[in-house]
Parts: sequence; structure tokens; C-alpha cells
Amino acid sequence: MTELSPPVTPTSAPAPSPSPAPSPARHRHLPADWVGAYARGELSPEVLGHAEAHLERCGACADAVDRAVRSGPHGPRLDAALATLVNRVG
Amino acid sequence: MTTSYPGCGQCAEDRPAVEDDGCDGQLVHAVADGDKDALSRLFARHAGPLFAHLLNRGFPAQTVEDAVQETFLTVWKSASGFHEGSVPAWLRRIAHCRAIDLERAAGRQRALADRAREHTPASAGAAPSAEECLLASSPRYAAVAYALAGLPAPQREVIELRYLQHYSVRETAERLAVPEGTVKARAARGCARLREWIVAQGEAESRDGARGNGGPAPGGGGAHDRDRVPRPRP
Repeated sequence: MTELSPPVTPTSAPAPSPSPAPSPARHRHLPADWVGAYARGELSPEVLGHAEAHLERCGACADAVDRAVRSGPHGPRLDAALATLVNRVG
Repeated sequence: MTTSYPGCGQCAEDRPAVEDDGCDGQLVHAVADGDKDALSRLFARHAGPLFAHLLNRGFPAQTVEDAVQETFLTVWKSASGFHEGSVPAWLRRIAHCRAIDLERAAGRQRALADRAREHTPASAGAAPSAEECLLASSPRYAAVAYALAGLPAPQREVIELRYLQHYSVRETAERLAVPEGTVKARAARGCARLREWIVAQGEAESRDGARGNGGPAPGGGGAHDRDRVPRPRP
């Protein structure tokens, strides 16, 4: 698992939040708060498409989302889904 | 997973575990060959992002949990159907369809429960079964419902789900945790028994009519006839 590097943003720009307009050229990876919001199902629809396009191609960010989901409130649901899947597959 | 994203120079290199675990396509092919370990690795790699993807589409968490599980079960059963393209995109398509199916099924259950409540007397305690609801709402099905109650439980459950609650064969199989073939067989056997009982009841009505009014009693057959013709038995 690769740790995320902090997003590269101009010093004058406001801190990234789940709702700002996408700016892929300025981010090597998704901002951490986007990742957290996405893992909770709360990412703004305005940036959802951009975030998912990035996740499609960026393993580090996909890993970060995976970690955020598993460590968040829905983590036990993933474990339950895996346990049931294993039972059903036999 | 080898396409780089504009402005994200690390993507191809950062894609985790490709070297260790095999690429997605290789894992899917291994799953198609019956490799359960490959299925677990695929789940470990994609379940989290898939879960988040569905949550961000507004699906309830319980639906998302079930849909993710169903998605990988679908992959297990039909991985050979994957030929090329993006595995995450393929998984998302399956998951989205499954989540919609689950929501529709939940909606049907809610609608059925609402209908049942509408047809329940205020004095009644528990919500009626689908069969009771049908009896209350449409008396002409009363005889069939009466016969239905005489079927073996496995056949009755299948017929209630398939024909009263309008679940598909696949949904019925999933709800009862039996193969689809079993659902079809139970439905066929149950329907055959119901048909036999209905024919027998019709013949009893004809005999009554011949003895009484010189012909079959149109629209006849109530509790009197039902009491005489035994319900189908296993």
C-alpha cells in the first residue's frame, strides 16, 4: 500500500474540500478529504465524475479509498459481505 | 490499468500488487477456472472502491453490502463472460445492476406490505401473508388460496414468491437459497397439484349440478365444495 502524497496545490488556493471544481492538473492524487468523503458516500456530485475517472487509473488513490472504507463505519459491512460470499461459493 | 491519467504521473507505477498478485484480467481468468483464492484477491482489491461507488450513487448501505456480495458471486459464476476491457468498470456495471435489482425487490416488498396493511382489519394483529392479502382483495382466488395452503411448504413458498409477489426465478432462488432449477421444479410440481385439485373441484361441482339443477352450477363452489374435495397433499 503506497501512502498518498499530499496534493500539490498553489499556496494561494483554498484548502481542497469535497465540493470545489476539479483541477486534475494540480493534483497528483486525490485530496485526502475527497477520499474520505468518497468512502463515506458523501462526495459532491460536481466532482464525483472526476474523482472516479482518477480512481479508475490510480492505484494509490484506489488503495486509499479501500483503506478509508474498511476503517470507516461501513468496514464491518465489507467483512460481512466477504464472509457471506465465501459461504455461498463453498 | 496501464493508461496514465493526465496530471497523475505515478498512476501506472502505483497500481498496487499488480506484480505480486497478477493483473485484474489474470485474476478474472483464474476465477473463471474456479480459483477461489483469485476471487478473494479480486474482492480484496476492488470491494472497497466498489462499495464507495455505490454509496455515492445514493444506495442504502444495506443494499450496497448485498450488491457487492452479489457482484462477486456473479463474477464467480460468470467470469468466463469477461473478455477484455476494464475490470473495475465491469464490476461497477454488475454492481449497479444488482443494486437496482435489490432496490426494486425491496420496493416490491414494501408495496406488498402496504397492500396487506390496507386489506387488514384494524382489529387484526400481525400483518397478513401474501395469501391472506389475496384472499381479502379478490374473492375469486379464494379457492386457489385454499388449495395453496394445502401444498407442501417448499412448493407453497415458491408459488407465493413467483406468482403472488412476482419475483423472478433468480430472485426466488436467491431468497430461498436454492438453485434456480429447484425453484422451477417446485413451481411446476406445485402448479400441477393445484391444477389437479382445481379439476377435481370442478368435477365435484358438475356432479352437484347434475344432481340438483340438471347442469354444472355456474360460478358455484364455495366452502361447501372445498370441504368435500380434499386439498392437494404431498
